[in-house]
Amino acid sequence: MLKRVSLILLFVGFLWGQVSVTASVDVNRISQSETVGFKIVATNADGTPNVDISPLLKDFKIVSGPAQQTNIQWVNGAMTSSRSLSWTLLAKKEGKLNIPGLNVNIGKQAYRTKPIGITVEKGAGRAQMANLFIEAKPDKEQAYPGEQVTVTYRLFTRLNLSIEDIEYPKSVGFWNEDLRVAQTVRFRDTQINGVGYKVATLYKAAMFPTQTGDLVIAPMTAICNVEKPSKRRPSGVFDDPFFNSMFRETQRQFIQSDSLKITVMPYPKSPPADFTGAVGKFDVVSWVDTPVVKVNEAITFKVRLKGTGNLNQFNMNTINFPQNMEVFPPTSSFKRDEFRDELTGELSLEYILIPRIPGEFRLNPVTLTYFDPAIDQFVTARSPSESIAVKPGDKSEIASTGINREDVDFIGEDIRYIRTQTPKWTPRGEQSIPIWVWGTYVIAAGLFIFPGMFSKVQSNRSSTAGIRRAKGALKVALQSLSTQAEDPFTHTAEVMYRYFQSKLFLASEHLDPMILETALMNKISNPLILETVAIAKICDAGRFGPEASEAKDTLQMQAGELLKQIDGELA
Amino acid sequence: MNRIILTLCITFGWAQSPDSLYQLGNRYYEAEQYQQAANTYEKLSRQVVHEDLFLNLGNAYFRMGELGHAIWAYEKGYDLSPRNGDLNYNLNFVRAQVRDRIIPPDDFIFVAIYRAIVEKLTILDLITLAGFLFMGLGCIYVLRVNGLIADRMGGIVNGFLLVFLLSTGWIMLDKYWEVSDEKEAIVIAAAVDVRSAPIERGENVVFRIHEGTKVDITATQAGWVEVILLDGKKGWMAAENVRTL
Repeated sequence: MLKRVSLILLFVGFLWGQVSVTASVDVNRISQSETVGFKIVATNADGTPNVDISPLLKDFKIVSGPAQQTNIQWVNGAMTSSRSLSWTLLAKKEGKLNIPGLNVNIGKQAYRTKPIGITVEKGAGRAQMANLFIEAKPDKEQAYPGEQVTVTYRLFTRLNLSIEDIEYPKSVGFWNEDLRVAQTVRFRDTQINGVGYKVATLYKAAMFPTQTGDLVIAPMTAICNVEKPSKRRPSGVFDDPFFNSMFRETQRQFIQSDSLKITVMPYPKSPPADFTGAVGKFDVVSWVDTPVVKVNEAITFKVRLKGTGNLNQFNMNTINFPQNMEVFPPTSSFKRDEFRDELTGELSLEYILIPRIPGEFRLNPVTLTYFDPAIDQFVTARSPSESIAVKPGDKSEIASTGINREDVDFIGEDIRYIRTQTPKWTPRGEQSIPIWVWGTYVIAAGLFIFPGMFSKVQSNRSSTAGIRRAKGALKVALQSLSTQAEDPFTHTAEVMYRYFQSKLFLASEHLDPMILETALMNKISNPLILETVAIAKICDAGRFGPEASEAKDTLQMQAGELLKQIDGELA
Repeated sequence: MNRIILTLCITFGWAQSPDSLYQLGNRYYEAEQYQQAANTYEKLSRQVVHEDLFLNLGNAYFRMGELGHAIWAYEKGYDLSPRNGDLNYNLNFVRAQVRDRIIPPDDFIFVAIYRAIVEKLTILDLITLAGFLFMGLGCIYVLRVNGLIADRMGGIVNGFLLVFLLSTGWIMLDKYWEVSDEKEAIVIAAAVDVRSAPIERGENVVFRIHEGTKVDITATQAGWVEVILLDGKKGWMAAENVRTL
């Protein structure tokens, strides 16, 4: 039994073999612009190798990988399996470099590869790589902190190629703004020392140094697929340009620009206290939308900073607003513009101000202190000051509390409380219209009726004026006669004539005894007519002569008695 | 303390006049004895009417969680005083808690404005307004008869007043018809099945409404009422589930 188990184990061991892990490179000697293939192979492993490649990254850059491959072979009944991981590496520096031993885990087992030495020779250089290179060119090699250094990366080539990948430079000590990133590479023809090249701008960046000293702008790397004619293609009927283009081979090539050194100098003078890092050339303007407002009305105060330089890298100087003016946090907008490869832009701030008391307010100028590298000096840009006239508002002003007002905090909602005061009850079912409401209708009706009555009474009175006068004639006459007049003859004559005028509706105002006699004829008895005429004559005589002076004292009384009798008969 | 006062009030039969009943109800309310408060206000509402009484009654019912009765009371108060701010607020507040959301069909804008005006005026308001307009017309007439106003001006003012008076008269009539013809009610049961016929059968339920919903009663029949909702849904429900306004 034991013998049988041992045989089976021996067979399985033979089948599976020993697990081994090896590391290898395709070439041990390279130039700095060349890549090296690095492969880890695990033989007879039953799982995928897990490799920690972090020690590699010190001297090498991974261009591609890891690529995974599995091979299984049966040779004379014996199975061999291998799993491999491969990378393409680019040396970061020249000299004798070492790929250190790497830890490889397969399942729970740990293995370690052997270190491999690689010799990296100095890069071929532009002269040797004359057919293909990247040129990095700064517009200046000395700058102040915050001053724009424009770096242009151009690809020169004499070969047909396509760009597979570009790694843009990431430099320490600079704030980087892309000015132009080529989406499609466009070549144009140029000549260097009489040699024709095709050149394309790959990348242009505005680099703003953030510290002083010698700073290095990292190189830019590109992976190109360079075409070259196939050597295996047979010559013959297919040897023409059309088929040539079909059978061309490409070769992957890594190119890298030179590193650039920029010397960042300190400012020539110590910066002023209000300098916040602005470097370039800037202009500040500010304005208010309306210079005259009422208390508690909002004013919009706009500040616009426009210029060329390290926008976004500094803060505006604090604006001191007058007291008793509530200031709300500003809204800001930034508009960037690249003009002739210089970073230009416009920063707009919009403040809402609410004056809380009336009066004249002055808004201080908005200032920005910046360093102008063109004249090597610090300059302060300043907007004009604004004055605002605040007139008293329609409502009473609220004294400023120095804090921003907010809406009333909403805690919750509930019904409103009961009414506790006893109201004036209306008995149920007896809801009636109040008397004063009826009053309006009564007054209205009265108004309609009253003008009618008024006009009717008026017209009645005017139509019956004579009758009324006739009715009251005796009364009026007796009243007049009861008072002793200085000239009783004239007075009595007037009273009598007026009486007869009213009573008999006489039109004439000039009565004499004759007219009176005629008027009274057939209306009263003859003796009364005679007596009337006699009295009238006495009156006339008394008025115009002294004969009737003896009747002077009794004339008014006689006339009164006579009129009573006549009135009795006329009625 | 409140309890002692309340006990004394009841013991000595003090709470008999409308004023004292009202104050008693208020004291119950303040003592958070909402059931007693509502009973007292209900008793009082059988004797007298006032919008404040219905506001308080509605509040008491609302505190008891009786949404339907609360809305009924606020609606009663609203009919008496449609522009009362507290009543309006409480009515809208409680209406917002009603489960049924009935969206009436959109009226033409002028109809909507007209409806809003009619709703905010009582018949007494309209009678008073008509009285003042009538009085204004009388004044203009007097001025014109006595030649104290230019004929043209008098004519214009007269025309305006006449138009207003006629409009008021029309609104008054409309309101009167509305009040006399419509019989509204509030659902007081938590949920009520509305049926296609005044018979209780499982299959004749057409829709279900909830407490606080306002309905128009279009017909009645031994223990049943036929109701119509604002959106036109119609059906029969047990009369005990609604309280008529």
